[in-house]
Amino acid sequence: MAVKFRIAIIDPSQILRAGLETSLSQISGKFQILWSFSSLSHYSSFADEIDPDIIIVNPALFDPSGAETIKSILSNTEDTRIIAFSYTHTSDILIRQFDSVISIYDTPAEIALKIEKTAGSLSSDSDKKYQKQSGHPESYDLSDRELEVLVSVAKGCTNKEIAGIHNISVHTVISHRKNIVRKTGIKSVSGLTVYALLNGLIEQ
Amino acid sequence: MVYYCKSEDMREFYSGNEKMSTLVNGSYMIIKILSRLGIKPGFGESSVNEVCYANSVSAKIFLAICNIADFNQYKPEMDSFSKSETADLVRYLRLSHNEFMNKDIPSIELCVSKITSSAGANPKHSKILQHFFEEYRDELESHFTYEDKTVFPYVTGILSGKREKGYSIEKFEENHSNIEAKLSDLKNILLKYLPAGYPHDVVYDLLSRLYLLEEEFENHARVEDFLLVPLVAHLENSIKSINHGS
Ligand SMILES: [Fe+2]
Ligand SMILES: [Fe+2]
Repeated sequence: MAVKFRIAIIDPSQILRAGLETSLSQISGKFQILWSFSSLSHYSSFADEIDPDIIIVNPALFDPSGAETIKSILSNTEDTRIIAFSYTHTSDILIRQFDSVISIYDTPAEIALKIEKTAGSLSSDSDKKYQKQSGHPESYDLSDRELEVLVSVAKGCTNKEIAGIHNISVHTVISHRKNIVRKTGIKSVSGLTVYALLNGLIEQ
Repeated sequence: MVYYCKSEDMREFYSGNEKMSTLVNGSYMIIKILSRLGIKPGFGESSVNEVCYANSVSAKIFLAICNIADFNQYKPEMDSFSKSETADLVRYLRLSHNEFMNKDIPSIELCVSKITSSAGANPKHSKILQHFFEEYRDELESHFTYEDKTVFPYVTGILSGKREKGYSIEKFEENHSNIEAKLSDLKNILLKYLPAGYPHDVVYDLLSRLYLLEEEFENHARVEDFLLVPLVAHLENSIKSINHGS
């Protein structure tokens, strides 16, 4: 199946972004570089609107101590693969947080292979998820925590109230809600209520 | 700084010199636009300009509506529209509302009631679905009524040189609500979560209607936000400057 991987690049150098983009598009039709950002803050301002499968980012943009995890800074969903595009030495603690590392000295073919491998782990993950889903159709792939939050949303609670009930931060509530919308495809509160009712999560 | 999205088709915008039949062959949603503007079929080899002229429809408005529907990057030039063209646009939007509420929604409603009253239906679930749909239909009704009764009369007033105090098109823009989100929710509920036992032919028929209407609603909102609003804002400014000058 011709799956295309949607890629975002974050790097301060325009020349490097353009070079990577050209090399990748020449070597394989599987890669679609849809977004290109010059800094993390530039990326953040669009983060809610885009949904890349892969983010290729210069590790030098992060704090080398690795104090704040890359995933939390990029605040993307768990399914997105993050690849370091490095051209200087990067601390081990930081580099371990990436799913893969490509270097400026790699050939285009090597880079393409690495991205494909990383992306490959992406599709096998979703296969697993599919199997899990068909094994437990009643859970529809929402985690227990997400189901709890969904029930509170359906009952009409605000984010603040939900945070209080489940003893979690408002930030966490928002991230659960984002995941619920992404997984179910249902955005409105009344739509989510229908979901909860149809699945017997709440009574009328 | 660069930010770009390459998924967009980079072809050029529609122009008046293209053949009308080519335009429709490339994008069949244009059929609805033709029908609402009262343009008769049987185009032969005529260009967009020729067909519009023969049907006494402004080619500029027709093209602007088509371009807004099909190209995200399209930005109409405000200076080039006349008042009568803006009036045509308002008429087009009113006709769209009428079609949505009196044709599309009733046919969807019929599908919903066929589903909820089918032999295999669980009455509890049917009630839930029926209620969700009715709530949505009421929301739509009030969205369109507000535009028909408040926004469009205001625009018509502006066109005749009168500006109602205490209202501006900016107010409309700020509060312009999204009407397609719940439609898309209904789509996903039917597609993914409808329990077994419902007549699948009706469910699929309903789904295809929902997909089409969702696209129509998206285009409709874009015409309001990116054509009507800037056109009226432009007119508001010109009224202001006339008042200043006198
Ligand atoms: Fe409207
Ligand atoms: Fe509207």
